[in-house]
This record gives sequence, structure tokens and C-alpha cells, in this order.
Amino acid sequence: MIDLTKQLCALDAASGNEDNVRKFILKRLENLNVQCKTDGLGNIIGYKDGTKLSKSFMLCAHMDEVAMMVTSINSDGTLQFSNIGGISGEALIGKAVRINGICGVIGSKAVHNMTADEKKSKINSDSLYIDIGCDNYESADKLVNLGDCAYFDSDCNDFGDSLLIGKAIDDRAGCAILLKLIENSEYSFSFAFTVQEEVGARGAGPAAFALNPEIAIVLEATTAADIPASNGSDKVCIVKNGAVIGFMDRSAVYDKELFNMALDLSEAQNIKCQIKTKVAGGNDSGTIHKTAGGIRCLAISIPCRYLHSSVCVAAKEDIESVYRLSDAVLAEFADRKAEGI
Amino acid sequence: MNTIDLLKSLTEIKAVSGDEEAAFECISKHLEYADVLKMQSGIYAKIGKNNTSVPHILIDAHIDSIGFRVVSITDDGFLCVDKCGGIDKRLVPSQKVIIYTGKKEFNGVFCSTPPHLASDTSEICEINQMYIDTGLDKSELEMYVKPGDSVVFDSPIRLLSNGRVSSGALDNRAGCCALISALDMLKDENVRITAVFSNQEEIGIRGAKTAAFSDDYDYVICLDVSFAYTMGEDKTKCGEMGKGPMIGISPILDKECSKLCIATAKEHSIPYQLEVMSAATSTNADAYSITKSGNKTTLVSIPLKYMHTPTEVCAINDIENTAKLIYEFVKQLSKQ
Repeated sequence: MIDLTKQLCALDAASGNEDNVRKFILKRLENLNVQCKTDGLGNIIGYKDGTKLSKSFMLCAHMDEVAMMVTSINSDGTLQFSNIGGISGEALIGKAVRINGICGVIGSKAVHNMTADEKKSKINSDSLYIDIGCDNYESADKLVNLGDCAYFDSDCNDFGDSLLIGKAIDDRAGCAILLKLIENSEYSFSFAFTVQEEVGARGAGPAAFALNPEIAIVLEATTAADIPASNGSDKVCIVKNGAVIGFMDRSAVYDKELFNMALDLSEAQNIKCQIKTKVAGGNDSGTIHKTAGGIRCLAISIPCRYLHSSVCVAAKEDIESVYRLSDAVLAEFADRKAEGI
Repeated sequence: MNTIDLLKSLTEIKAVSGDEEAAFECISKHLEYADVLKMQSGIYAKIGKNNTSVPHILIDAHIDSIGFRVVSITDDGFLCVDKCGGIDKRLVPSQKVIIYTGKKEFNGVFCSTPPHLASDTSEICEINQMYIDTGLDKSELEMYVKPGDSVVFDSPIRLLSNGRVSSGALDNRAGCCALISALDMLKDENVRITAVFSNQEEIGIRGAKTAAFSDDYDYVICLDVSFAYTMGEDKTKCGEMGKGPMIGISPILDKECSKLCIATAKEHSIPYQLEVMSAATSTNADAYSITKSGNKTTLVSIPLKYMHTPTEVCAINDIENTAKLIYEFVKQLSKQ
């Protein structure tokens, strides 16, 4: 699962441009002989056959990542861009990017020449641009088209003590977990690898509508701020403290019964689990819980530092915990059926 | 060795100002034909040291780079650091770094706040209030890392389009690269050269101040990088990338030498541009020119964009033309 995460993180797939990840996942599913299809938006939706459950489930993870989109080519050969998804100026400045297989960099004015006010000011990402080495419009125009996407030039590598570092762990780790569940779980569920989460959870709605489950489990990466600059609940969640479940975030209030069940299961089965300590962020649940006549949602997330940057940091053991807790929730519904509940 | 391979090898050197030990091995490897020795002020490479019939020329390129120093380790295993040299604090969060301790190297990353949690009003803190995440706990770190260990940006060289390269160490490995290339061409000429890969330029031109005392020199040439124009910079104070070495004109530089350098470039059809400064140059030239009883000093700079960021950019042809100019200029000076 960790190798799979690394392979998925190395792929470039911005919101609305998920081809690379979609092709990779379709190939894996084909090898597993799982029935699936790609819908009009680009979501992969399908059904995994196994032990029947008392409720119909959908498990999902999003394929897209935050990135940059070229909006114009300047006369000096540099590229103006807009962010696809939320990226802070600090995460962009002084970073290398790749675009159509060529390297570029996001530079900034030399600190020597900055005024005192400039040194203090927040970075406005509209003032940043990508330098691919070209000197003029014509030469850049041959290499880049408007609408092309630029990605952090960063793969996913081992880091520190059993951690991973790289771009796009949000949510390729979720995709890897979902692929492994499709491969190894003994239960029946439908699944969706969704598009366009980072630009407003747009893909998940149509996917949930088509699959029409009673319950959805969203596999995500959520922000961990367990760094010295934050204290107490501001840490949100903590790397290596296990799967994160939230009662509420900016996009949804989660189903209380599922939330409690996940907590009980984690305790009973000794799966590391933590409750998100801040109402922040959001995910595909925000759209799914309001789809059709309403779908009960649970998000099970990997705590991830420095989300939406080139250097997301997550722990291998937390990825395992999310996998185990998700499977445990499915198992609970199989047991209930057996008991006639 | 071609310029890109040489530059790659030089940008891999980890040498934060005041901790340049690691540079010696790499520099001596590239200068096997010279007498190379390590001094407090830098690495010295001598060519034709007994050749007293020609002028003695010192060519300087500082070897140190900006970076950070570890100040302490927090209880939960994060490193507190402070900066070495001028760094825009706004670009530090989420940068990858390498902590080098002499015993071992560690990967790290500067902590940052994701957009989900940041408020528009939150201030950017000073670098000495930022932390490095190594993914290791305190006990493990303490086995290898101690206060004083150095930290550099992890920014391996990348090839851009149009013969441009990017790395966080181009200031001043681009200058070192031009110097090594020039020495390679000069090694069999009738010259007497002391090349100095000087220390501690980025924290106040400290290595050069003492390097000038190492011997008597007839001429000094300083090789550094300077600002190439990019959006946001003042066009009138910048060179242009790809248009050749920038020959310095300044009250502190020797006027006749600058003129000779320009004439040499013209004679050999080497592209060049002028960098006019009405006062000191903020390079090692400022020190050499007034050390001991004064040295006739020339400054040649390679245009560089985004100085002191992990994504500095320069043009390979500017480095090669700088090497050519230094080669021809040293031959000219040696005839004086």
C-alpha cells in the first residue's frame, strides 16, 4: 500500500486533468477483474462483489491534486498562472515545478532589492510567475499552451522515521487505500475515485448520485498542524496518532452513529484513531451528504502535515490505520446482518 | 568536463558561510594540476607559483552559500535555526533542506501552515521562530545533530529550457565554475595565478578581508554573480541574462583594469555588459581593493535571477563566456 501510494503521488493530475491517475487506477482495476466505468465527469465508479452487507456502501477517494494553471504567456517568456485549489503564496515561492515534461521555477525578487515593507508583506500569488528559461513570448509559446497545468516538481519519498514526504499525498494515499480495499476486503461495496475535489468537491456528487448508497465512507488526507507553532486543539490532529475522524468540518456534520461506531471499533480492535480537534477544512462528504435524498457520511482520514504543498508529510502507520478502520466499519455491517439487526 | 557537469558537482557542495570544510575535496578534485591548500580564509589553488617573471594575479570566487545554523532541538524533535546570510523569510516555509553534521546528513523541511488554517492577518514570523521537521524524535536527533550544525536548501540542479539552469547554490558556484573553467584553459600559459575560493562572503565579506594578506598581488579579479533583470526588479540596475558577463564599473574598482577587460572582451568578440555602481559593489572586490596597501581590482559578474532563493537561475552561456573572458583577460594582464 505504501509503494502504491508513492507510485500514485508521482503522477501529475490536477483537478479536471485527472487522466494520469485515472489510467493508472483503471489498469489496476482491470487486472483485478472488478466491474467499473468512467462517468461523464471522469469519476471511476464501480462495484466490488463480496460478502453482502446490511446497508449499501460507497467508498471514495479523490484523484485530483492542487496545482497551477497557465493563464497567459508574458512578453519576456515567463508564465502567469492561477492556482487550481488552495495553495498559499508561501508554498509556491522558491519552488521548482514541472509542466509538459519541462522544468520551471517560481522565483522572486532578490531580498537585497526589497523594501522593508516588501519583506514584511504577505505573498500575493497573483504576483508570482513561472520561469521556464525562455526569453520571449514566441519561444515559450512553442512549449506551453494556455490551460496547461504546472505541478510541484516533487515525488514521494521516505522521510524521517517511517514517514513519507511529497506532493499529492492528499489524496493519493486515499486512492491507494481504496484500491487495496477493493483488492483485499471481503465485503461488498460500491466505490468512486472522484474528480475535482480540490475545486469544490464537484465530482463526488454525480458519483454518489449514480451509485445511490445508503452510507458513504470518504477516505481522505486531512490537515495535521502538530508543529511547534500550534498548541492544543489548533494542532487539529497528530501524525502517528492514527486514523482521523471528525464530527464536523466546514463542509459537513458527520453522521453521529457512524462516528461513534468508528470510535468504538477502533478501541475494540486496537486500531489507532483520533478525533479531529478543530472544525476546519472539508472534503467530498460536503457534497455527498446532500446528494439525492441525503447520504449518511463518515470521513476517515490520514493526518498529513503541510497539506497543499510540495512537501506533505504523512506516516505509513496512519495509512495502515485508515485501511483497517475502514474495513472494520464494513465488517460491522456484515455482523449486524448475521445477527439480524 | 562540460560546464553543466562541473556546475552540478559544485552545486552539490554543502558550504554554508563559516562551515565550508566540505568544499575542499570537490575543489581539489577539479584542480589536480594546481597546488591546492586549505587556509582559514578559503581554498587556495596556485598555478605557476615560481613564475616570478609575470604579474601575480589573485582570482577570487567565494565558495560559501547562504543557509541556516541549528540553534536547538525542541522536546518534540523539531530543529530551531537561525539564518546565515540574507534570506527572504517569506519563502522559507515548506522548503526542503539538508542538515549536514559531519557525521551524517538528514533531510528536513521547514514547517508551514496550510491554507485551511492560515488567516489573512497572520504575520510571517522571523526565521529564528521557524522550525525544521526531520520526521525524527529528539533522542534520535541528539545522537547526531547539535547546535551549530549547518543547513542548506535541498535544491538539486535542474535544467530549464534555453540553456538555463536552476539551483539554490548558483550564488556563487556559478562564479566558481567559471573560475575552474578559466584555470583549466590557463594552466599551460605563462601565468602566475593564485585562485581563492573564499569563505564567509555572505555574512559580510569576511574571508576576502584576510585572503588579500596571503601574499603580494599585482592584480585582483573577483568573480561573483549579480542581478539579472526579472519582473519586479529595477531594469536600470540589472544586467540581462544571456547577454554575457557583467564587467563592473565603480569608484572602488581599478579604472584601467576595467577598461582593459572591456577591450579584451571586444577584441575576442566575447559578449559583455557593463554593471555600473556609483559606490561599493557589495562583493569581495570591496575588501581586496583596500587591503594591505591596496590592490588593483576588477569585478566580473554572472547575471543571475532570483538571488538567494532555492530557485536561482543563470545561463550556461554566460558562465562559459565569463570563463573565456577571464582566460583572455588574465593573459592580457600577465603581459603588463
